[in-house]
Amino acid sequence: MSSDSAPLVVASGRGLYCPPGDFYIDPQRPVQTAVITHAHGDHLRDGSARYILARPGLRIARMRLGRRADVTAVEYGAPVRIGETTVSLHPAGHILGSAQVRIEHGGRVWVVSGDYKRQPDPTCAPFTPLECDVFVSEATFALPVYRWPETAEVIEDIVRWWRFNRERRVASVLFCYALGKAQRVLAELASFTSEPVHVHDTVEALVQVYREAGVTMVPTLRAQSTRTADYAGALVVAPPSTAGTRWMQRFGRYSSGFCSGWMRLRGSRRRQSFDRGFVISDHADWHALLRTFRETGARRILLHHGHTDTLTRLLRERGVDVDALETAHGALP
Amino acid sequence: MRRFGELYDSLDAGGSDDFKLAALAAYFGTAAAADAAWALYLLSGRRMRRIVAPAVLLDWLREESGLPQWLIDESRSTVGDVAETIALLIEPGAIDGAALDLSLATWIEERIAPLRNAEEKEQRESVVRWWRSLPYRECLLVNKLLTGTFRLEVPGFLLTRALARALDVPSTEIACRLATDWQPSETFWENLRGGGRSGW
Repeated sequence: MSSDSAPLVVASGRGLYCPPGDFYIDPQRPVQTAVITHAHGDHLRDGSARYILARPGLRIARMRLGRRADVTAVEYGAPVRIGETTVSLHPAGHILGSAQVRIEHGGRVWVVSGDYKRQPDPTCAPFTPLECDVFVSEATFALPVYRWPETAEVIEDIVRWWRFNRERRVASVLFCYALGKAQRVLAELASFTSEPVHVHDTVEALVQVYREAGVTMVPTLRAQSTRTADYAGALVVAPPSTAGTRWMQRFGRYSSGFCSGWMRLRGSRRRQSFDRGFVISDHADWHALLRTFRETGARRILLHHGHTDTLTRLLRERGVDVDALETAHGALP
Repeated sequence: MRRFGELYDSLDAGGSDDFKLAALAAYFGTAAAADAAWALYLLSGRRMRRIVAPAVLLDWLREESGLPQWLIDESRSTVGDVAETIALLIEPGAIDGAALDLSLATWIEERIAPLRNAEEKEQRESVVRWWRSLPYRECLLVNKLLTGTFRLEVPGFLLTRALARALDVPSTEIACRLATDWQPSETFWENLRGGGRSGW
């Protein structure tokens, strides 16, 4: 039995672990029970005996884990008994099916945020602040210089860049992470145009999942033609892993753009070999992190992956009980 | 300033010369003479004199933002540039569309340059008002012009080719004209465009 003060979540070599529930959250190596916050590759890894995740993310998880994996999909907010704990998953607003993990045990509530954002996103349920005693938060963009612009302004900028290239009969290749970011951009574009957008097969497979989930996006065409003329003036959405590969040769001359929160800083934009950087992130910016901490009412904050030192120092100066919780997670911007 | 800002975005990334050339040619082909002259002046590596020291701007930022000094220092260390750090940290207010649409030449000649002889109080009032009424990109540009730190290394051959394309003047002729000691003005631009060739 855990004592009243024993932590409900600790950092371990395999990721975040809940001792009274005997389960891991987004484990980096195979475990018996894995509670998954979302299906990005650095959070959902195969090999575990049993997976528990939010129902809107089930199709994507199946694509990644295969048919034979033992996967339990639960509705947002529905309590599940795991070990001695009651666990529920709640929208994190990061991508389709992303979840915060609420753990209740012995009258205490801990919430693990997973990756999350507070900006509106037409492709997934919005982040829901949950009252808790301890809030375990990601801190990927925990510096005050990370303040996201309005998404509509950025999409307008993307459309302007596309039109400029179209006048030159040149393709505009927009690099976006295949899961989440690409669909968000395609959904946001629907407010500006109904023209079809060419997409890489990896993006299209996930676009289909999003469409089946009821997400409205611009029409998409698989970029399978190898005739350069087919892409003159077109917009193409592709994963960053295709940059510089032979697959790009089909576009002939093209202009490149990259969507990421890291594009907020000039230094990052200049270090990358893209013509334009567009600031669109699926993570909370500095201001959203602080707002979220207030809204949870948590008496203690634990931070993992990102600029934890800066945020820890600031919160301590403001009298908040805060610590860094080290995990091996990287983060998709 | 918005149009120059859009050009700046197209040049200030690690992308292809092809894209930068197209962006430069589009700007120079359509910008008003005074704006084009100032843009060329800045993009060819010529510097404006400093009007306010970066350290002074950082003092104003600290007092305006209420952020602790260590957090500003840490942000600056991550960003690597005072003008940009301020543009990222200042709490934005309502955007002043009219100020945003003022031309580059008007900003430089009628807003920024006259501050050189102003008292610090007046300088601060103007600058802080601009910080709060301009979006990130234009705020960054104003800070760079104020501190004399505008640096955007556009290779000379790109500028020359873009001008040749936009003005329909042979690039060798453009290169000769740019090699002289020139000041940004409508007259200079009209001469470059060929309308006043006799003046060369």
